[in-house]
Amino acid sequence: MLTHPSQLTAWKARILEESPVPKKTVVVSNGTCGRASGSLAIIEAFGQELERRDLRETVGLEVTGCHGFCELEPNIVIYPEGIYYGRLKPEDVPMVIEKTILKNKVVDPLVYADPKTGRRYALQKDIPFYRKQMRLLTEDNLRIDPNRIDDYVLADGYQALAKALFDMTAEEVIREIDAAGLRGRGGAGFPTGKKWEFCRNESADRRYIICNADEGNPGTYMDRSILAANPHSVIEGMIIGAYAIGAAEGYIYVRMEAPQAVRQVTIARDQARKFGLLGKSILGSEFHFDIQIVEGAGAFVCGEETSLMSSIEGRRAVSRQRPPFPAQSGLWGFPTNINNVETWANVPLIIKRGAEWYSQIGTSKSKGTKIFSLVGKIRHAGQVEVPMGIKLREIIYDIGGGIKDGKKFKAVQTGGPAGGFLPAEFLDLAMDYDNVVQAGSTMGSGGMIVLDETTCMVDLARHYMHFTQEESCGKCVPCRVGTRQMHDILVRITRGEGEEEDLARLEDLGDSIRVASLCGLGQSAPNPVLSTLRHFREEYVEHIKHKKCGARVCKELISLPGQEARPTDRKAKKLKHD
Amino acid sequence: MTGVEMDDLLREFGRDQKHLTQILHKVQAEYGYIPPQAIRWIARHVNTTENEVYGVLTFYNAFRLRPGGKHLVTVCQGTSCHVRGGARIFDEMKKELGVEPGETTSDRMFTLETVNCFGCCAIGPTVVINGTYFSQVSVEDVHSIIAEYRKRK
Amino acid sequence: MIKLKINGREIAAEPGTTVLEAAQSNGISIPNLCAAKGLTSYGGCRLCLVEIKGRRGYVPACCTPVEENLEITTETPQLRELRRLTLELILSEHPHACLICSEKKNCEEYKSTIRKVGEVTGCVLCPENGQCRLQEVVEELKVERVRFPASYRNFEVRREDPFFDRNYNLCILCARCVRVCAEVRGASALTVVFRGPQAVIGTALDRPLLDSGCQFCGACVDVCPTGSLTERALKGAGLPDETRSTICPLCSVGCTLEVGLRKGRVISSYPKDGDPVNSGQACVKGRFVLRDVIHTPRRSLRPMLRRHGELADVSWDEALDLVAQRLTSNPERGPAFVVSSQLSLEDQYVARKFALNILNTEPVLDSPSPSAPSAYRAVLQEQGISPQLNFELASLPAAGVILAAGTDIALSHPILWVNVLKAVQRGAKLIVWNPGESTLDRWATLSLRTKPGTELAVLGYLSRWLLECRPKDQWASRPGYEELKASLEKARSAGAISSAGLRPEEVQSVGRLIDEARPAVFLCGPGLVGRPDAAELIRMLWNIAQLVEARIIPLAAENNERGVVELWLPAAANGLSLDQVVQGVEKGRFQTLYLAGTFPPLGESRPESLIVQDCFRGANDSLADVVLPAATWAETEGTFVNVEGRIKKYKRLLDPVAMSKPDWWIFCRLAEKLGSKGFVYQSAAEIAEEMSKTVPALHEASSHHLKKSRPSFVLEDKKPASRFIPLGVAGGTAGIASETPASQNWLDSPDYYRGLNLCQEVKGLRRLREKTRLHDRKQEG
Repeated sequence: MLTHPSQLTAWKARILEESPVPKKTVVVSNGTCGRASGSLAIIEAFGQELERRDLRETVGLEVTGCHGFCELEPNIVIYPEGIYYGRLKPEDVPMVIEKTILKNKVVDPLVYADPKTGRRYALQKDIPFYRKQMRLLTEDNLRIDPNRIDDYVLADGYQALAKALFDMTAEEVIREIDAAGLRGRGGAGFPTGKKWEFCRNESADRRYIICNADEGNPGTYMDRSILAANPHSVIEGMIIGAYAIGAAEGYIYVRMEAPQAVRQVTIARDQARKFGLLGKSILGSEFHFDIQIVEGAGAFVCGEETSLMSSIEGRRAVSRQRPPFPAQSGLWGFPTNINNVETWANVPLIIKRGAEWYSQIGTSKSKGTKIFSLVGKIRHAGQVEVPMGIKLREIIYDIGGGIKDGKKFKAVQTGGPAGGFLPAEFLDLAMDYDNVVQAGSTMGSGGMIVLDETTCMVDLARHYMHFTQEESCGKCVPCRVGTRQMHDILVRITRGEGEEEDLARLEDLGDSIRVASLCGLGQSAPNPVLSTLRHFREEYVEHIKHKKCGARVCKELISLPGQEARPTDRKAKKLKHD
Repeated sequence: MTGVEMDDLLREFGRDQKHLTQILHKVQAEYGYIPPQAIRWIARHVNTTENEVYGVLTFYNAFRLRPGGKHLVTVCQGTSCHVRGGARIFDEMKKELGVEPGETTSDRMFTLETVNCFGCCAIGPTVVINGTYFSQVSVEDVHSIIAEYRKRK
Repeated sequence: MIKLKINGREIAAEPGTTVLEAAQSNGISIPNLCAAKGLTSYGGCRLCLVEIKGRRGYVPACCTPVEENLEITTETPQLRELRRLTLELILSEHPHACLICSEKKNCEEYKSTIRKVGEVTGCVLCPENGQCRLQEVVEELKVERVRFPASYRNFEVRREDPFFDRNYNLCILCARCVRVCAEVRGASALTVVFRGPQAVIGTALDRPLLDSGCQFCGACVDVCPTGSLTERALKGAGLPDETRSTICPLCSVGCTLEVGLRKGRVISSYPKDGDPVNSGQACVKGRFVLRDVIHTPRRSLRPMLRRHGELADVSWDEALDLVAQRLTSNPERGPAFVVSSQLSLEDQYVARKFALNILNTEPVLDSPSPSAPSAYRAVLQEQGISPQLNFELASLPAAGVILAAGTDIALSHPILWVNVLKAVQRGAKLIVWNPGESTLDRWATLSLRTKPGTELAVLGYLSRWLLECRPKDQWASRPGYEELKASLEKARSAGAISSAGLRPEEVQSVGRLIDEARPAVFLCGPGLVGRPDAAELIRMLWNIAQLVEARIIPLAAENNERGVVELWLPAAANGLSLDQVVQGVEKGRFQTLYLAGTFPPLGESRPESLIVQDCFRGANDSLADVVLPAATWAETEGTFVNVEGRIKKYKRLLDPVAMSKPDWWIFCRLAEKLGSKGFVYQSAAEIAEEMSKTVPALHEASSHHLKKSRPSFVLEDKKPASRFIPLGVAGGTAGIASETPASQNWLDSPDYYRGLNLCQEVKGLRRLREKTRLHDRKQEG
């Protein structure tokens, strides 16, 4: 139980003293993708093999959260060199131990080879996927076992909290966050410092803070990865935020479809409580704050702030009209500040290293880094953390390795069901909040679904409308009824029953639903449709006039049998997931 | 299911509506579904009407009022899985099991559900059966995986 | 007042109201469907979107609070177009053929497309046709086509509940019904189920409303803007020719009802909006059962005499002649004269005058159980205190703590409950004290359940605890304090609280609440005040009320019970109680029995002459010598005094049915037949005039007084003494002890009007009461 900030530094010192640094350490990536790809078998194989060879004392085996290069999981990184081996199989383990650990030699077939150039990169930091990233938040994932608070403390965890609580006033903390230029990472990009200030300035008996970990956008999974890999970073951010705002109670709302994130953040929260980092008199200060963890129940709309609060209150999670905003009237009518996981994770970073340092990263209006979920038809799918302002081209080609299977880049979908599409003409776009909006899409929470010529944009628009229909809360007419009408039109078009007037109908409906809907879900639901109409109108016309689906996706329009777009040929991997 | 059982189950939760979704999760974890008789106890515990509880539980995808099959088959309908061929996988699964989402096969072996993103976007299409993740699923895989589970009985 | 601009016009708005309300009260119309007075804002229909200068996009006027200097535009071409599109979306899911039909104005003439489909496929087949809010909005926005393909959700119409049907094919999901049921009535019988396109209004597990806690108050039916919820009895009834106001005679609240009349018959009955007593709310009786009271086939229609063993129709003259003769035939064995307690003040005044002056006999009220206000006042008057009985329902929401003892007001006095609920929603603490479960328990901060007979022990403990643990200087100076302390000490008995089934902490919590969360109100129902030991309970309760400055409100049950308290002395003071009359009849004490009120069925020991006067035929008719058909309250004017002490006059709704006559008229004619000149009243108003002069408490009952703008109440001592009264006083039961312990009536609502048992008469009411029947409810202990 820590009762003084000096005990934190003492703790770190003690860890360094007491834990012997092994000669070699094998770090296994064990996030959701890792497990789904078979990381648990790798861990078991290493455990057994190291035991068999009596190497447990000299070779460390660490299990961490997601390393980010999901396409190549299960993967390991061997320290101190930092050698990266991807697409590992249990039968590779003896060889790895034999050659790399014992003989310091690289196992060639396991070394990463650039699919375009053929060049090999043995070290993780050199691999192009990693090299161009700026992994301020995610680099620690390689070193932290989320079950061990010691690892976090070793990485200077909770130092920012100590600084905030004892060296800064609440107002100073807000000013620092404001000066850093941190903007909400959930999608709206609202200046975080200002948001905190609004909440703080609202007079009330109590205030609440919430971490929105609902992450419902399909294609995005960075929030759950942060929570599963480095949950203390979020917790620390929340404690600092609660101190700044004046809240005594916080909630982390995690979607139930992310069981690993729920588990890890609960373990971390319990540990924080045990060590006096949550609860009464944190670190011996006069600040009291605790966190409750609430699991979602399968409703995308709960990612919307007012719906999320209704859900925490135990009611039907319908949205509420704003204003009043949560900062004025939120949970049970009290001022509430809601931020996304990634936003909270940035807070300790800013406090520790200062707003001035932070504001050097990124563009003039969008500071810091952003974690993108780079998925879809990209060669190297995974989590990438890059500075704001990086060009889309760099993300797709330098980091992502270009389009899979030698296909061509068609567009990237950003912002999920609320966003739009950036076709090839935007490859040189500097990715920040405002630029993306100006280009006709939104950054959203950071989803980047890469599409090639085998994607039918009309089908994709229909897919998004179907999603909205399933997830609409049903309260307001434009969203509940209007999106169904849009969906029905799109279904007709994909079936070859489209009419010329349908495009105008879609645009009219879409524009109306955008302005008339009650909450963000409805207001942004037509975006994918309107965006595809703007950039890929010819595909619609082809479907309607010529009854053809160029990407060969729409079943009813494919004339010859056997010409459907085939899913990937890889054999399914099956492994136990507790 | 008796009142005593329910009391034990609900003991850890305060008697406030804010615990409702967590209570429903726990009841479903215990019984595999929300038994209709449980609704009365839950309503009493959180001091609201059965109608309110029912309104909340039917709002969310997570809760079902009927017992499911032995194996819960969930197919991801997320966009990344979709563009990687997820729609074909879903159709194939529906054909293989012979049911629509939300339904259970007549031999009570499989219940088919959908989810709007597991977070395995990089390695989709994804199917999860009873918590076991299958990634990069192909059309052939659908048949072989289900066959494997049928053998287990 | 807040100043803002709408469409360039300066308007003033009440703080705390919405832009929509401000617009409406200034005659500016903004189309809306989901907003409703008294309900929280919803913002679901999106029709009321407006532009506000300086704010992005459109905002719904119903959700936007008024602010100083707002500049609002309600009409632009874009807004109009947007509203039309939104309305067309709504209509795409609602059968709209008639709504946009070009022939709709001529339809009545041609009706060329009507078929017997049994489903509502258009306005012409809809019970709400002509009274539908959706129709109004379609008119307002001049929608003439629906550009979207129509979809019919094809729900089965729900007809399994009494009184009204639910046709969710017509529902537009405005959720007004859900909100009124939860927010105004506190019942939450309806909720939105599922989500998105599957969302529908329903109940848990789709049960009938009878099984879902619904009390059939009709608030949802009244607030529904479409024909989704419709009263079955009104289907095919057409629109009323005229509407008149009346006061409901079926409980002591006395709601003002707007009654629809068509061809001289009552077809509908709605609560009056904005009424100071019931403000737009009613209960199952006033809303759905009223017409059955007046138009039941059981009505007594013609005066009848028994000739040769059979009852035969006669003229009023003949009947009254015989009655006059029988009443005075044997002065030694005089007549017993029973009067209905539900009669108007005028009827009762004349009845008493007739009985006392002409028959020289004390009239007897037909209510067997002790009246709570009557008992309460009697016990206190014995101590020389004239307690306040008057109160206003509208003041209840301001209470800090409310104790509801011996009553489930949600069932017995629904409108009282509506006001208590408002208090609870504002943070008032509710303490519920009953022998068993009640609907109030859900809202209670503290719920005490005690065995009947242990109430004295509980009050004794509470009193002692307050005196010992919360002493206040100002008590000691009040008269009676020392005696109170002494008598409480004497009454101490160990284990008393546990015998009641309570722990000391529970009663202490009650004490704390009533002392701290002032102002406190004690609502006392028959479960407490109807007990055999009620006198002592009342004294104890009075003392506690003095300690914490609480207001005691004994709950009258019947429509004119409060008026009875002013007109009649407690029966045992001088004269007979109904029980004594029943016994007397058995012993042959009376020659003639004149029943202008209900009476248990007479067996073999019937008096020589039996006169029955009632609106309805009953069991005793078969033994009666004369049957006199009385008119119901609806067929004459009169006055009731409601539970608040408010004097409420009602006017005639329709002419007396067949040959029936108002009771006062019958008594007057009888008096004339017996030679009196003091009964020449031409109208009930004249009677009221005399009564207002001769009964000081009813001074404000004169028509002259009622013309004034302020409401009329019973006159009473505004500053009653606040001293403590001694306990353990012998006697003084003042006629309130009764043979039949009324404590099981704690859940009851008077489901009768004179001789008509409403549960027998109306199947729906019977089914409802069976569900919530108090007598069958499990009582703890």
